[in-house]
Amino acid sequence: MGQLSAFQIYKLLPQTNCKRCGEATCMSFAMKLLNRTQELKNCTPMYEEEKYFDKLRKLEETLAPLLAKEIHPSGVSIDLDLCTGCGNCVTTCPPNIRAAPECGEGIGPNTEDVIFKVEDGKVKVLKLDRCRRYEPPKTACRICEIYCYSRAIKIVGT
Amino acid sequence: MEKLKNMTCVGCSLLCDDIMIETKNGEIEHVYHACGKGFQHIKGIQNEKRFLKGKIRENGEFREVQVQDAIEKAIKLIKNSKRVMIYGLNNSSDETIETALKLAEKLESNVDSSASYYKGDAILEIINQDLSVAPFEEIRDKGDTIILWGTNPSSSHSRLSSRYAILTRGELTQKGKEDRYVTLIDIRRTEMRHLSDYFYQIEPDQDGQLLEALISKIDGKSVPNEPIAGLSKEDIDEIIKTLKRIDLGVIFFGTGLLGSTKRNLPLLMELVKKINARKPVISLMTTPVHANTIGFVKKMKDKTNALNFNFQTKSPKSLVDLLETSEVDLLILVNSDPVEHFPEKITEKIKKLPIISLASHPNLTTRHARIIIPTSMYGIETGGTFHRMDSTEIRIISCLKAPTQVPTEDDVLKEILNSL
Repeated sequence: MGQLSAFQIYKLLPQTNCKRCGEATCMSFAMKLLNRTQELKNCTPMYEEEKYFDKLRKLEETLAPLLAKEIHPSGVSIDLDLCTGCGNCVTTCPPNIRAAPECGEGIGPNTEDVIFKVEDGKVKVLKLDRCRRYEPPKTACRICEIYCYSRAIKIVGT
Repeated sequence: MEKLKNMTCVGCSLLCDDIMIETKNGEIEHVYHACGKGFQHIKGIQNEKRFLKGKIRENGEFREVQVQDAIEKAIKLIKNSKRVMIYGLNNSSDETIETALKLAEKLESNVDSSASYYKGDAILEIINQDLSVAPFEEIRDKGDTIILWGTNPSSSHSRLSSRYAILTRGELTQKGKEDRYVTLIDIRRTEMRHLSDYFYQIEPDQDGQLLEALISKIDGKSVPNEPIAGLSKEDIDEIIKTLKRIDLGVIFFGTGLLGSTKRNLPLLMELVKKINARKPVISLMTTPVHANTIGFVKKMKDKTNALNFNFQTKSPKSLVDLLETSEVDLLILVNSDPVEHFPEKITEKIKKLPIISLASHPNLTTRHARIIIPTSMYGIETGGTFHRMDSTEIRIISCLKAPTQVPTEDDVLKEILNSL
């Protein structure tokens, strides 16, 4: 999936800044949809007025990967078939290093407080709630995805 | 549930020593921190295909025998042979290699390994020319430049970037990867490009031309402006800038550089020596696949000053040379699989020889062996001294007991030696 932008979402919204969703502008609603602090159903005009139904359908399609129940709100998903257990994510993830400082030196963490840990030759995701994309303030961190050389980690969203 | 910490994996030459194993009633339940390749290696200890008894092949069929019977039959076969070749040893500890060399000397036989055909010459040259090799801990703490030339550790040595050299943080490299420059020189767009700051895709078979151009530029000589090895003048100037600004760096090189022509290795050595003449900043390391290729080359250098040797004529002789002139009448394999790494022209001849194989699992060669002697596995069951990719000695201490009837490789070779 990759880089879905706020502007792509904005183009499919009414662009009237009616404020019925609670946001000042449609652009701000689009950005909050992306980081999942707003829900599409709050844009009531799209569901009430027929002229928006086409865009609504397209918007639901575009947002589907982001809203998929299997994907954690941080947007981090791992294709275990591609993972080779190299441990790059374990060594570079900042919350990992905060929980187990030896990770940063390359040594495998022996605690369960981390996000990534290599078990039985593949990465195992433990406490994904500690991801910087999920815990406030949500940052657009993509470090694990950038350094995963088998392209097993994919992040949905900004 | 028992937790065994800081175990060493011998899946490749990185020898990661932070592996944790959870066992229950002696069975391995989980293995932590080892990469995919290392995990399969460690899991192999309790794999149902593992050899736990000796095997003897007669009339095309294998029958199981006690380990002691297999060893005695092997001793008989050795005593009746005149031109023995001991092959393998790249996955064995230093102590086992020493015993094997004593045995070869007593038998006046040959010794060879896959190192003769695969990076052994590079390892020997680096030792002979006394080139500096910084240990991984120093690279983690102070290394600011990594160059990868013709090697793809993402598939063969998965934890090189995460455990040792590229992404790790240390004393002067607190930001990890962001305090290092990584340059990748290869003919294909390999997975390592995701970790590289600079990627130069060169033309196949033209590493030599690029090395010559770099040497000329370092010397201050002018080089023609047209593309060399597929790289523009700007690219080559960028590489020179990277080389000149190194404070502590490593060049990892593999079969991609060594592969086709013999002249690439001396050129690379010349380039590194020229830069190190001002100040010793660059370490050279090749990336051997087996756990103790470097230990084997060191022992061979001390004893024979060559990668392979005939203890009767006291001169270098490789397995390939001997097969050509049909000068081998018995092959003793120590944890090796020549049918897997040689081309068919050679393996056809190997399959026709009588073979004694010291192995822990079936492989492509064991099905052609006459006698199989099961041996214990290093790392978890058997200790020993090994040499890591950066030539650091690692002493492995075992933690799980091997199955009682399975001897170590060293025990088997010593028994054969003592019977002569």
